[in-house]
Amino acid sequence: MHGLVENNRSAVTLLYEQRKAFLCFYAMGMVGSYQEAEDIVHSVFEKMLSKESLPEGAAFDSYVVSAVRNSCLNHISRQKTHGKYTSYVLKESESSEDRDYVNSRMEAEILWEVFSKIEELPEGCRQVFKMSYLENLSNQEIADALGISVNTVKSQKARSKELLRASLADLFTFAALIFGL
Amino acid sequence: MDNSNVGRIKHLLVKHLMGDLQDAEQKELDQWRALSESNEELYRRMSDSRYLEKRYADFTKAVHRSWENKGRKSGLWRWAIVSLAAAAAVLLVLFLPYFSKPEMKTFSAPQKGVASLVLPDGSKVWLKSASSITYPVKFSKKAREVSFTGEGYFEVVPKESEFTVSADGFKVKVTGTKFDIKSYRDDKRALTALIEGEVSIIYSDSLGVERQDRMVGGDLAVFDKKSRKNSIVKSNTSIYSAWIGGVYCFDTETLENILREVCRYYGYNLIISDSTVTQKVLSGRLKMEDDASEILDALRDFLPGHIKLESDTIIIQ
Repeated sequence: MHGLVENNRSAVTLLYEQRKAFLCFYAMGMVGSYQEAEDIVHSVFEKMLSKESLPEGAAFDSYVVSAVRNSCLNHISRQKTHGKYTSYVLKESESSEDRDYVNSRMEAEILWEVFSKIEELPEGCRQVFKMSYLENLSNQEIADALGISVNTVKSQKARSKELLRASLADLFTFAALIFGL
Repeated sequence: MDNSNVGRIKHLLVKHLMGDLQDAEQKELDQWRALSESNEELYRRMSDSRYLEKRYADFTKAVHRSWENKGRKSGLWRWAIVSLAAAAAVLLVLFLPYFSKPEMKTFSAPQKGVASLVLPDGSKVWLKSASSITYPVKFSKKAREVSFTGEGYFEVVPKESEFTVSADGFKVKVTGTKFDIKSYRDDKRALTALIEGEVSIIYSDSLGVERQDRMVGGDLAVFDKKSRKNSIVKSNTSIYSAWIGGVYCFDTETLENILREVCRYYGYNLIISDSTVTQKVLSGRLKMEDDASEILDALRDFLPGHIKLESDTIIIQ
């Protein structure tokens, strides 16, 4: 992050790579399609290249999220004839301190973390979890398919839910989290 | 709102998603909700299954696409994508109690795929992409009622109580049997293919009179939503459940309907600017692979020079 104080291309590129997926996800909540979201995030970073200096650390995060949000709102108001975006347009034009901004960012951070954590379950757990909840197989069927005991299936299921709860609970217990991992 | 408060609310909202809120915590969250319209809206979004489902699809896309563009698509990553899609359904199940009305559950199929579930009575349902079913957590003794949109294959466990599927404008009443319903909201016709057993199609006709048409195994019911007419014909109904195994079978189907089906499955938009070329009638089978390219190649052979693909839209001209 220090590279950013003296703004240079490689630092911006690195940050773009690191933040892109999250920021696109955030923007998609407002503009809908991935393509539009990516264009918006891309142009926000492009504009950064021309700035002499940029904020550091957590301040950078706030800066870039609100820049993306403002770009999205601009994009939507340009398209407002399409009607479906009107609800967002009506709420436009607040400072980065206002509640809609805070809430939209909070929401994206929560969903991003929850979705990511599901992917981080240990493989065995995830597989049992998947077969049980997605494929609706019985404990016995899962046990047969994986060559493990029914008791192991039961404990894996319980464990995956516990793990998910634990990883999510820890994550948000402390205030002032750094977003985007 | 200061930072510690943001952290606390995040913590509570995650617990809300997981269904782990204690009474005191729910009260705390309720107080926060009452503070502003924006808070209340955020809480509602976090309790709305359709919204969360859509955001999960966004998440998958954002992770997938931004990674793809870096040009590092390895086998490992493909696996991760598959798991992500799987996780989407897992997530739905996990969060279900908090998404829907107290007594009902909704289950939706992922894009480009088939999902199956077992209903509380032991009946099995397979859902095609863009389909969903809503059913009670516990069926009453008298009736088993579910509502449904899209395409689904049902294997209903025989019981004394009747099993009723409400689709767009009509109902299918059964006791125990195997059948396929295809009733997407944007289709003009809804199809019910009975593989075995007996069912009744219940609907009100154009004059508002309730009608009940009986079907036996091998019957195909075609319900025209606009004229509210139902016709029953003999058909090779077993092909209507082939999609469970990832194969799309069609028998004397117009190219337009085939294109519609393929687009729905792979999430493409379809624009037909010259409908004369899509009236050809075809029979055959298409394997629904992860990737649409082979199917598009096959369709190109039938429509040389007429198919154009622009990002996620297929144009027939």
